[in-house]
Amino acid sequence: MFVELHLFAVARQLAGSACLRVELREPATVAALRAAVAEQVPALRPLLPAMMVAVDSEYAQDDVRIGPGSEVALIPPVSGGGQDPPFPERPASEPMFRLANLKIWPQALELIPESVARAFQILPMDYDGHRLSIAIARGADAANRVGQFRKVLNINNPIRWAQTDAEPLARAIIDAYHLAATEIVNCPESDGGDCKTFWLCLEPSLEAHLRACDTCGTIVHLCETENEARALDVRGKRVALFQPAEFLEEVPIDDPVDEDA
Amino acid sequence: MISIISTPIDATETLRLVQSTRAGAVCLFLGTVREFTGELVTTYLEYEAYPLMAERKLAELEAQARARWPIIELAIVHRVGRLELGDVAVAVAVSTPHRAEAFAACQWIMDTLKEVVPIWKKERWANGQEEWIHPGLGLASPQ
Repeated sequence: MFVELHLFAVARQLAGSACLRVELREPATVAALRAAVAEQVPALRPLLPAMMVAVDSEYAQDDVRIGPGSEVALIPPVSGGGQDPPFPERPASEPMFRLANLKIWPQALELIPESVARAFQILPMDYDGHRLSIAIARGADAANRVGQFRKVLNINNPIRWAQTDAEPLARAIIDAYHLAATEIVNCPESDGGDCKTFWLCLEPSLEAHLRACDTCGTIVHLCETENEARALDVRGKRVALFQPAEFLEEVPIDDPVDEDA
Repeated sequence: MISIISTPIDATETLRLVQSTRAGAVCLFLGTVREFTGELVTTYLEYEAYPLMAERKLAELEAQARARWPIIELAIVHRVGRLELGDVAVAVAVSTPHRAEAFAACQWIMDTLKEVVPIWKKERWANGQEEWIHPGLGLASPQ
């Protein structure tokens, strides 16, 4: 089937036309449309990932179906948010969210600087003001590493630690600090209610971008951009919006002190 | 009342649309064409909309705002086409019983409008260059 794709602003300018006739095999989705446009208009290819697609005047994710009568449009970012800092870049090859099955309390991450967590390959998971719970890479020397970590940070609190595979742990550490400040932006209970707002301490699900509030049971969608979050918010969805974790500055570790000096 | 127009916005008329004896507060916001953006100097702007979707998104904004605040009347007018320095590009007017809700609703509508409503602006800079403003796209548009 053929669909007429409406183009606006820079997309229209690059394509040299306000409308593009695109052939799609049925059943078609937004993802198939994106692929077809990339093929048909190479000039648009680098911009496609940052553009939204609208199907019948509604922002549509990649799995949304496109029928023969659908009105489809390519929506470049709108001018709002012009003063916002740019979204931090991550390598395109890396999936954004890999912490599907972990529940982490941001106060634990706040306690341990990211540089230390990476150096010791330790993922802080919970801190109740007294006891710190961590995950550490599996190995015969794990207890030793916990001891060194304790010494470097001068932690006298009890530490509860569990061993796990090194490779997924390394990825989880990066992602946990990346998402540490991300929280729900449209929870009606957030003022004094019982619901938790930080993404990382919501109940994980099988879908990496979906978690649930274990107080009220509401499903929460993780969004990378404000556009995405607004689009879901107007559809009545509960949304957590990615926020760079500003309080987690890289803290340099001093050189070891030579005690003989 | 929601509209997307290509003629000058009459701010007084927009204000009149929301005034009511039930209101204790009326908040009017005007977005106007600014001459200076950092080092750059603007000669004029061009706004382009995806009209059907923009009107639909504006209507959704109105419904959302009415669900959140006790709004008596609300008007959103956005202008498209070529705008000169100082021209009004968008007007948002809200009337509510008390001022706090009027301020909050007006700010929320304006912030959200700029995020979700498919209306774009092109800067025509004093150096003759043109640029579509697409935050996050990461590429200056070739001219």
